[in-house]
Amino acid sequence: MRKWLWFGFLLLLGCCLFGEVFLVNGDRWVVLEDSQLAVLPTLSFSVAFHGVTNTSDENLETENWRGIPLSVLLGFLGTIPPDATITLIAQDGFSREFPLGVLRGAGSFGTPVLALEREGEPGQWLTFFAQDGQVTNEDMLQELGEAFSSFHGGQPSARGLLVKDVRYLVVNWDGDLEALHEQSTHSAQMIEQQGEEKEEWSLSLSGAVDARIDPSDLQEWKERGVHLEERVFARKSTERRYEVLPLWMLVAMVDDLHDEHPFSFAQQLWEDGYLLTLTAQDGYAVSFSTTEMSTQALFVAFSEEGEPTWPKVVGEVSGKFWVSHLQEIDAQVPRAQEDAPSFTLAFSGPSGSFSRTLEQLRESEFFVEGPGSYTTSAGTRYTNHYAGVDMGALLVQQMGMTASDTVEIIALDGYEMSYSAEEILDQSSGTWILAFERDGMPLPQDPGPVRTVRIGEATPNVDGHNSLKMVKRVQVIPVAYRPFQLQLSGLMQTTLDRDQLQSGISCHRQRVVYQSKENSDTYTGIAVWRLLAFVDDPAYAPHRQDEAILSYNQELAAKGYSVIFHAVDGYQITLSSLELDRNDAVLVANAKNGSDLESGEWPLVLVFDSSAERLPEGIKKVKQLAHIEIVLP
Amino acid sequence: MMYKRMYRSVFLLCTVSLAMLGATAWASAELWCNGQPLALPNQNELSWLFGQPNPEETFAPFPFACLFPLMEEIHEIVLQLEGSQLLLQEENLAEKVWNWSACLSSGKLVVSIPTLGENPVQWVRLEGIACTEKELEIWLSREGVLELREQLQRFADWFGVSLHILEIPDIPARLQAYLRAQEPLPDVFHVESSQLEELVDFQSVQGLAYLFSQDSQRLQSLQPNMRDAFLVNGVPYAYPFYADTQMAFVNRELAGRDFVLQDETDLWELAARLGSSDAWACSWNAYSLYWLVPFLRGFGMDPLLGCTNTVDVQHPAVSQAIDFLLALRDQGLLLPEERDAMTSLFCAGEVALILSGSYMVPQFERLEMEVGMFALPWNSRGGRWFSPVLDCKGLAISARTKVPVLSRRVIDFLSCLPVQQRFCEQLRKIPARREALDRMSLPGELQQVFRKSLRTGFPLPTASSYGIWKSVFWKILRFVFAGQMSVTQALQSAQQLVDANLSY
Repeated sequence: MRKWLWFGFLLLLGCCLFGEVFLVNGDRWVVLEDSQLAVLPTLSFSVAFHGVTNTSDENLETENWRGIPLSVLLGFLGTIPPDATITLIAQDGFSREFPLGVLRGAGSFGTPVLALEREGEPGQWLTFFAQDGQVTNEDMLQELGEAFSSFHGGQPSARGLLVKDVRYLVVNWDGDLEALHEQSTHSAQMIEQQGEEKEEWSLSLSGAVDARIDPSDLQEWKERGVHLEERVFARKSTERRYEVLPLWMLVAMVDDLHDEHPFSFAQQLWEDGYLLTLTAQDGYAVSFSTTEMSTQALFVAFSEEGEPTWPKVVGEVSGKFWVSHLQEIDAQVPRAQEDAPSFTLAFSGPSGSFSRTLEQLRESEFFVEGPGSYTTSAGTRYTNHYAGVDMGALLVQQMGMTASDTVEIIALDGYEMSYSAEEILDQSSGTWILAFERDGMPLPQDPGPVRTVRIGEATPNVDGHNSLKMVKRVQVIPVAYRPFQLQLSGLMQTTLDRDQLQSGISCHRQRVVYQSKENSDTYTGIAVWRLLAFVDDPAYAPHRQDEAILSYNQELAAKGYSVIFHAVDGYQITLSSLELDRNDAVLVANAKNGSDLESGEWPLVLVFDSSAERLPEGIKKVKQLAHIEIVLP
Repeated sequence: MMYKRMYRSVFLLCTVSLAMLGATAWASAELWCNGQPLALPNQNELSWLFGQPNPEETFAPFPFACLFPLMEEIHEIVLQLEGSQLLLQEENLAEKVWNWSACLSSGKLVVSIPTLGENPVQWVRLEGIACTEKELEIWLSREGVLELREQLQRFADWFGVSLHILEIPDIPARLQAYLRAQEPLPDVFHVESSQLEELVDFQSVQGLAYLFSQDSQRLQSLQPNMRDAFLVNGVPYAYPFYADTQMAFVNRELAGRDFVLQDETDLWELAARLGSSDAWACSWNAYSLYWLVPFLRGFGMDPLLGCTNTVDVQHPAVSQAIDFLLALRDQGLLLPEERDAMTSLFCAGEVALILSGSYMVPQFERLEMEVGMFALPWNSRGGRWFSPVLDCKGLAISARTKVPVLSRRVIDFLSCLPVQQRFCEQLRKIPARREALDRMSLPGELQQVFRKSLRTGFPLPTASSYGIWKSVFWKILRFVFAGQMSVTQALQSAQQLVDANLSY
C-alpha cells in the first residue's frame, strides 16, 4: 500500500513538473525545460499513420505536426553505443522501445520527432515524419521488425507507434519507472538549486587609475542614494526590464585622477576620444572609440526582470555591445603619473659643455620615438616603445661631433661605456637615442631617467651592456674609437671585445698604483681572477646564468693551475692560480692616470699593485696584452 | 560580387513570378534574407570564391553562410524541405551556420546541418541583423602569406568588406610595441603556440572560450590533437588554423627505394645499407630540445610539463633519450647538425635520413629530389611512439578589436572546409579541420605521414617554462655532445638553471 502511495505521490509530483523532458544515458541526465525546448530546431510536416483498419488512402487521417527531430535530442547524450535501444516513456508509464539506428533516422522509415504541437495543440508526442506523407504498416514491419513494431489485436498498427506525453528518453532502459520518477525529481531540484546559487561577481575598471566593484559596492551606492534607473530594452523583439547605471558613470571612476567625487566624469576626454574596451568573463571583448558612441547609449545592468544578474551591457545598440557577464571595462586614457623627476643631462666636448633638462630635450627638434630592444647576457630580450633625443643629430649639431670621434657615456653609478661616433651616426639599423620615456611614461630613476637605446621600425636590438642606463653625462672625445679584443682560453674559449671589457671594468672597477723606476702611475681595470671565470669551467661564464650561480670556479683555482699571459708580440709570463685567486691587486687595465693607455701599452696591460703584500711569484707587467690562457696540470 | 548577386536576384524574382504563373523556373532554390531575394551562386562563382581553378572539379561542400550576407545575428531560419519545413530559432545561429555545409548537386541545393543530416532545400528564408562592420586589419606571418592574401581578398570581394592585410615578420614584438604605445592593434593575427603565453601576459589577445561555447560544432570540427594547441591556463586564445609536423626524410638513392622506417632498429638497418659509403645514416639538430621532445615522449615523458607547468629535467625519460642519441652518435649513425647544415648535407647526398619539419616538403618537391617521407618511428625500447611535435599555427582576435563580428567571420571563412583543403594542399600543411585532410590531394606517403602524426603527435606546451627549458638545454646539450659534461652532471645543472629561471 505504502509503495503505491509513494508511487502515486511521485506521479503527482511528476505531473507538476510537466513540460520538461528528461534525457538519460547511464549516469548522464539532461533536463530540457520548456524554454530550452522552444529554441531547438523544429520540423513542421503533415503525416498520416496506418492503423489496423485505415490502411487505404481514403481512410487515412493526415495531421499537421511540429516538433524537434529526435536526432537533435540524442545529440545531448554524448556517446551512445551503436547497439543501444532508446525507450520513450510517457508520464503514465507507457513506453516504446526502438533501436538507436531507427531513431537516428538511419532508415527509410522516416524521421522520428518529439512533437510539441499536434494540429496546433501543445504537448509532447513521439511521432514520425515520412517524406511520402504516410507511415504504413509495411514500412513499420520492414524497418522495426516484429520485436519493435506496434500491434493492436494481433494486427500491425503503425499508429500505435505514437507516444503521448513523452517525459523520458532513456538509453538502454532497465524498466524501473519508480527510479526514473525519483531521479527526475532530484534532478529538477538540483536545477532549481543551481539557479539559486549565483556566483558573486566583480567588475574591474581600469583607466587612469584602477578600481573594482562588487555587489557590496552596489548596495552601498544604493544606500547612499546613487539611483539605478529602470530601463526597458528590446532584444530579438523581446522587451525586458533592466535596472541599470549608465556606463559613463562607471567609466567616470577611472577616467582621471579624482580627489573627491568618484563619479566625476571627464566629459571632454570622452569627446576628444579614447578607446574603451568591454570584456566578458568568457573572454569576448569589443572596443569602440568614445567619439563614436554617445554617453547615453550604453548602460550596465545589474538586474533583469527584477532578478539580480551578473553585470551586462545593454542599450539601443548593436548586439555586439551587449556584453554578458561583464568582467572588465578598460579606458585607454593616460595613466595618472607622479611628477617626473627633475633631472639635467650634461654634455661636454672640445667645443664646450652644456646641460639640458628632460623637458627641454622633449621640446627640442631632436625628439624622436619608436620601438627598440636590448638583450641581456642571460639571453632575455626586452622590447619597449622609447622616446628621447636623437643622440647623433644632437651631438653633431650641438657638439660638432664627427664620425672620427669617440662618445663616452657616464652613468650616475659611475658605469662608463664608449661608442664609436661612426656607429652612432649609422642609421641603417636604427637610431641611437638618449631615451627618457618608455611606453609613454617617464623612465624611473633606475634604469632612467635616461638610457641609451636604438629605435626603429624594425625594432632594432642591441646587447644589454651597450644600452647604458642612468645616463648622467655624454662626452665627445676627439679621438678615433679603436676596437680591440682579449682572447681567453681554458675549459671554454671566448673572446671579449672592447664593449664587453669596458662593461666589466665599469661593474668591477679596481685601481692599483704601479711603481716603476721613473714613475708612480695609477692604473684602472678589472681583477684578473674575474676574467678567469670565463674559462675556468665548461658550463658557466659571468652574466650567462642566474646570479645565484657563481661563475668563478674557486675550487679549481685552489687546486692550482697555470695562467699564461700572452702579449701581442709573443712575450708571455706564467703565474699560478693559487696566487691570483681573489687577488684584487693584479689587474688587466685599460686606463692609466685617468686616460687611455699610451700606444706602447694599448689596449690592455697586465699590471699590479707594487705595494701589495700578496703578489704572484714571477709577476711582471705585460704590455699590449692579447690572450690569457689557463692550463690545467 | 554581392552587387552582381543583387542584380541577379531581381532577375530571379521575375523568374519566380513567372513560375507562380505556371512558367518553368530554372533556379533550383530560392534564398531570402530579411525579405529580400538573393541569387543562388553557381558553380563558377563558388569555384572563384574558394580559389578552385577548375569549376568542373569536385570540391568540398562550402559553408552555408556563404549564400548570405555577413550576419551579426540570425534570429530565424526557415528551410523548405521536401515534404516538411524546418524552423531554427536557437541562439548563436549566426555562428552556427558557418558549420553548416551546402553543395549544389544535380541542380539542387543540399544543406547539411549537424544532427539534422543532409536535406535538399527548395527555399531558405533568413531573418536577422546584417553585420555592419566593414573594415578589418589582419597581420600574417610565416608561410602562405601570398596564398592567404589572395583568399582573403576573395572573401572581401564576395562579402563587400575591406581587409587590410599586412605581412609582419615578428608579430608579438610589434604587438607589444603597439600596445604599450597605445597604437591601434590589428583585429586578427597569426600566432604560434610558443608565443601565446607572452601575448596573453601583455593582454593583446582575447580569450576565445565563447567561440566554442556558442557552437559546440566548432570544437568537433577540429583535429582532436590540435584542439588544445592554444590553451593558456585552460583557456583557448587562438583558433587552430594548420600545423606542421616533425617527420623523417630519406634520400632514396642512398637508402634504397624499399627502405621503410617503422621502428628505431631501422636506423641501424639504414646504416648497414650505406655500407662503406662516406654518407652518414642520419642527421638532425640534436642540440635543440625541440628535436629531443619526440624522444622524451618515446621514453615515457608524457606530459612534458608538470601540472603547474614545472619542468622535471631529471625525469628518467630525459636521460634515456639523451643516452639513446649519444649511442647513435657514438656508433657513427647520427651526425648532430643545425638545420641549414643538415639540409645542405642531405641535398648533397651526404646524409641518408634527416628529421625536419613538413614545411620542408615543398622545398624538396621543388628540388625534384627523390625523397621518402616517414612519420617518426616506434620506439621498441620504450614501448611507445617517438611522438612528433605538431607545430600549430592559429588565428587570434585582438583584445582591442572594434570589429569582433567581422573578426569571427574571417576566422570562420579561413577554417571552412574548401579553404582549408585548398590552402593546406598548396602548402603541404596539416589542416586543423578534420574533414579537410580526407579531401586533400597529396602524395600517398605524405598523407600517411600526416595521418599518423595526427594520431601520435601533440602540440607544444604554451607555458613559458617550456621556453626556459629550451633555452637552458640549448647550451647543456652542446656540452653533453661535446663530452664536456656527463649526462648526469648536465641534467643536474640544467635543473638548477631551469628552477632558478622559473623562480625569478
